[in-house]
Amino acid sequence: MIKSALIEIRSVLGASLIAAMMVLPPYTLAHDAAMHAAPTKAARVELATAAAFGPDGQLYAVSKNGGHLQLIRSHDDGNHWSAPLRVNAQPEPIAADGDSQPRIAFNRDGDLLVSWTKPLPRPYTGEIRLARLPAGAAAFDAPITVHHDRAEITHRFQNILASPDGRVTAVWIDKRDQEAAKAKREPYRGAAIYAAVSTDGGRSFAPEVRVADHSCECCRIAFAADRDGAPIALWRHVFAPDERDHAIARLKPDGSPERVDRATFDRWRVDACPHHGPALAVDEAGTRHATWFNVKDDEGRVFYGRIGVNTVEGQIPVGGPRAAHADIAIASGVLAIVWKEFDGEQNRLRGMRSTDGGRSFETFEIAATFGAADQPRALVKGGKLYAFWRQANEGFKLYPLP
Amino acid sequence: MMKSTLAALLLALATSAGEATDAGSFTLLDRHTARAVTAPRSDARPTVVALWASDCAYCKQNLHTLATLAKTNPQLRIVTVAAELPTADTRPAIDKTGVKGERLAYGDDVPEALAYAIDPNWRGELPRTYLFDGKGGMQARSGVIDAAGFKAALGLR
Repeated sequence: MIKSALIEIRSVLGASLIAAMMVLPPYTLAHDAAMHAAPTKAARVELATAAAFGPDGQLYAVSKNGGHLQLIRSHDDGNHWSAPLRVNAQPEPIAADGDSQPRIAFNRDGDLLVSWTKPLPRPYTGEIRLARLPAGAAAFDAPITVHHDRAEITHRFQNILASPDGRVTAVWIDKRDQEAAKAKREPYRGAAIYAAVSTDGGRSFAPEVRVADHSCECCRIAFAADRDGAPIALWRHVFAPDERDHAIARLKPDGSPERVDRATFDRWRVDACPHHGPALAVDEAGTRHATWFNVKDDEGRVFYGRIGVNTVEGQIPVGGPRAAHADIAIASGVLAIVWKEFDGEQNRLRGMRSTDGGRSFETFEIAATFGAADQPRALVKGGKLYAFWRQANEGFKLYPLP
Repeated sequence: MMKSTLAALLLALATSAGEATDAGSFTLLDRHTARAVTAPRSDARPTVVALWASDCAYCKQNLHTLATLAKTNPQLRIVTVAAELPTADTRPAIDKTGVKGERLAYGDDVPEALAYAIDPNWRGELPRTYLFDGKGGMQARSGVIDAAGFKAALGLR
């Protein structure tokens, strides 16, 4: 090792001594840092946590612990938490990192539904799983696999929505059409969005339907109720030839789309995995407020805008150049956006609010942590807005928004 | 001065190599060592620093292309950086692409801090590639790069 390093260094010195010295400081620092680094856990930290207020006013949070998801509940807005309850009795692989996150919803009967992606052995593959905690029950029912397709392919990045009519709809990224094209040696852009609907509160799902071809492969899907309760999905799409913008679709009762529209027009041309999906909230007038990440004019930014018919109204950047993973919610005429932003030292949780439907905003600071942090979630309870933020050092935290 | 500089560099390289992990021969980065990954390089060899992750199919396309280019361009230096704390799956994932060269990976430092240290202008999309042409020039590119793209940026055959 030393000998080969010496040869490397000779060539470096031969090329330019001055330049070699410029390379030095980071390595020297590295050595110092290694000597003084604080002890840390060596396991990969999977912080992705789902959170929502239940119909009982409690705060529910679901996160990963080994081969299990676990539920904790709080009666007092996150100051105290219940003992954890296992979601899946039998351990299994669970994706809980970044955009690959568990999702929760409450069906019309008040049952808690938890969905997650179970990675399968082949790379990029998975199954969408769902478990139900009947209202008032002490334990979850055994989880089910949502889709009828059992091929060991991509079914991942799921989201769920419970509608007032009792339906539960799941959406996810699915590569069956990509695989079929590959088998025929035909090209296929990206993946696809599929949906499945349950009419028995999440106990079982009808066969899935395709929402759209050519989604991006690894971004979370935003899923919100229209003012009549119909699900609206917003996802990163791959528009020909390689524009990673967003598409939006309102779903029919069977999960198929009424139509699929282009939602954003930033024209980020890249074949890459941004791991940075959008968020969506619909106001009382039916206006679709969204946040999303894109590279526009060579600069990666989080944006806010109102998604119209083949147009975006009021598009503005959210936060600074490193703002990331924004979430959005609306309550009592107030529109709130929360996001995380690394400032070089700390992960910051920041927010902005609008009382005029997104025409103007005021920005505020919420929290900061030196450790790793999950994406924040914007939550609503009783007409009030909150930010939920899981942090490696601080734990599960809820912040009332101004 | 020159002697102590050389000694410090040797020590630093030996130290970083000593942090290879059980999960494969990855040298784990912290926020300080990560800063060197995209720092200006002084040597005259074309160098590619390729950020990838085991869940990123486009990354493997780039790594496979680099493995092929390396066969006809022995002067090409390849440094790969797994943007994840390695697990048992990480090494097989990169071995399968055939790419050789120095293998770095995220350590257990805060991932946001590691990403920032590598490149404050990088927003997490993968693959992310830094192309050093060996003449003082460097390009940062996101996404799939084809063989012609690598050749043009690095002056390869």
